[in-house]
This record gives sequence, structure tokens and C-alpha cells, in this order.
Amino acid sequence: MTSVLKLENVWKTYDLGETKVNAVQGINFDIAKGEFVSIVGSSGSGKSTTLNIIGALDKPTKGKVFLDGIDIAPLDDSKLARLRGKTIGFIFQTFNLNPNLTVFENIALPMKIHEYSRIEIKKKVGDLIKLVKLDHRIDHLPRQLSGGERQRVAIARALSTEPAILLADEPTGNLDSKTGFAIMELIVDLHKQGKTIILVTHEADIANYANRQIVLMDGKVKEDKK
Amino acid sequence: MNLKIITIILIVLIAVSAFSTFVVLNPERGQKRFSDLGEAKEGKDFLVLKESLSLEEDASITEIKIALGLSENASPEEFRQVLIDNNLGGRLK
Repeated sequence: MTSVLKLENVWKTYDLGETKVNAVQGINFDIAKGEFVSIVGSSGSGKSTTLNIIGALDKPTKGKVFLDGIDIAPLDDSKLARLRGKTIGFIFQTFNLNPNLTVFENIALPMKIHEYSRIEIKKKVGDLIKLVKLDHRIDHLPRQLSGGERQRVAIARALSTEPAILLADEPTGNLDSKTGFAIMELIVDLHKQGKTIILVTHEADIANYANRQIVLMDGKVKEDKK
Repeated sequence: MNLKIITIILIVLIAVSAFSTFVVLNPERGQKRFSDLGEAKEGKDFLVLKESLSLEEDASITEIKIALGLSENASPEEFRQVLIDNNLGGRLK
């Protein structure tokens, strides 16, 4: 199986003046293409730090991270941003849509920056809107959508540039349980279509949707179960 | 003779200093506009972004920030974060 994400003995230490905090301590795991993995942990487990490292938002103090086969350590900010934009589709708890752009424009924006042609954008956005079942909302602004609909747009946007990894950070955290269930069903469908999904959550029932769970505690991998 | 050279050097130094101060105090001018966002210069991505946000080609950074839903005083870090939030990687070419 092809590895899309590999962490080798990753440490992250924050220097707080007189004290140093090891937020992540020697983490190892390897995620293959097509896997659906949840990273679970309570507050203080190192979950957020791990998310930042996986998302190439932060570099480890020690150890190596390979994103889609590329070692991120020697990359400068600009190259790292490019790799991040190309390799990872982010889904956030708070949706983070641009309030001034329509559904179509929000989904199309990353594609424009990644130099897709107008024809490709029209076709791809059309396909994605159907995939997330929002054909009827294409010209609406985010404020005209429900929370669940906004998250569907965010998912379509995350998929727009065909990233190697879909990284979902508490994707149901701002939704009621029924809407959250529908979003998780959509994420499961995406996995069935071959997408690699990494879901970061503190909720055990949400983590259970994944086929593999990496449980973090005190900055270490406590359990890696399939 | 030496006095002349020293005077010329002083005039040049004062001119360079005055010009630098003018550029720093005027954020809408030249390189400062984009170094304000941690960018070396305005590249192609910025033009695409402006077009996507329905802004004019010569739109200022303040206008870009507002169109992205930020405040006009948003820091480079906030700008980076909104680019990540919008799945744009976090830095523009």
C-alpha cells in the first residue's frame, strides 16, 4: 500500500521560558492511501499538535514527517504552503466559508489558485455540488445555508483540488446530532469512493466511523487499533 | 576635500533614510503592501484572488482582507490562517 502520511519518531516541544512542554513525544504512524483513520484524544493529549503537524501547519521539533512521500523538514514556508494546498483538503468544525462568495465561488476558489481552467472548474464544481447534494443551493451565500449545508460546501471545497488526504478537524462539532450523522455518512461515502480520510476528534462515537483509530494520550500513541 | 566627501555621504544617508521612512509610513506603497502580509511581492495568485473576490486589479491589501472576511488590521498570521481556512494553502505566489 502507498503511504500518504508517515510520522517517524515525531516530537514537538514548546519552550515556555523556564519550562519546556513536550506536547508530542515520539509519535510513529503510517497512513496508507485509501485509509479512513480517526485520531482520538481528549484535551491535552497532543491531538491539536498532531493535527498541526499532519496538516503541515507546524514542523516537528524532532523526527520526520513525510506527506505524500515528501519530507517536509527542508521545505521553506512557501513550498510548504504549496504542498499543503495541493496535498491536503481541510474540513473545519466552523466550516470557514468566505461569507462574500456564493456556494459555487467558495468551491471554485482553490481551483482558481491551482490554475484549473474555467471549463474544468465549471465541470468539477458541478460534480462536487451534486456529490454533496446541494445542486439547488449553487448561487446561495453561506448565510443563506443551514449548518449542515455549510459543512457540505466545505467538504466539496476540500475535495475540489483532488488532494491526497482529506483532513477533518471535529467536522460535526458545530452540528446537531442528526445533521452530524448525515455529515459522517457523507464522509463514509467519500471513503468508499477511495478517498484517504483523517478525522481528528475527541468524540468516541464519531471516531468509531473510521476503520482505524489512533488514540493519543499525554502526547503519545496509546493505541493504534483497526 | 575630506569635508566635501563627508557632506556628500551625509546627504546620501539622509536621503536614503527619508525615503525608507516614507515607504514604511505609507503601507499602500510598493513592496510594503505585500511584505505586510509576509509576501515578497504581489504575484499571480494575488491577481487570481482579487478577481475571484470581485476586486479591481489595483485593490489594496485592506480591500483583500475585508473581502476575505478579515478586519483591515488583520495580522499576517490571520491572513495566513484565512488562506488555510479557504483551502488555499496558507501563502500565495
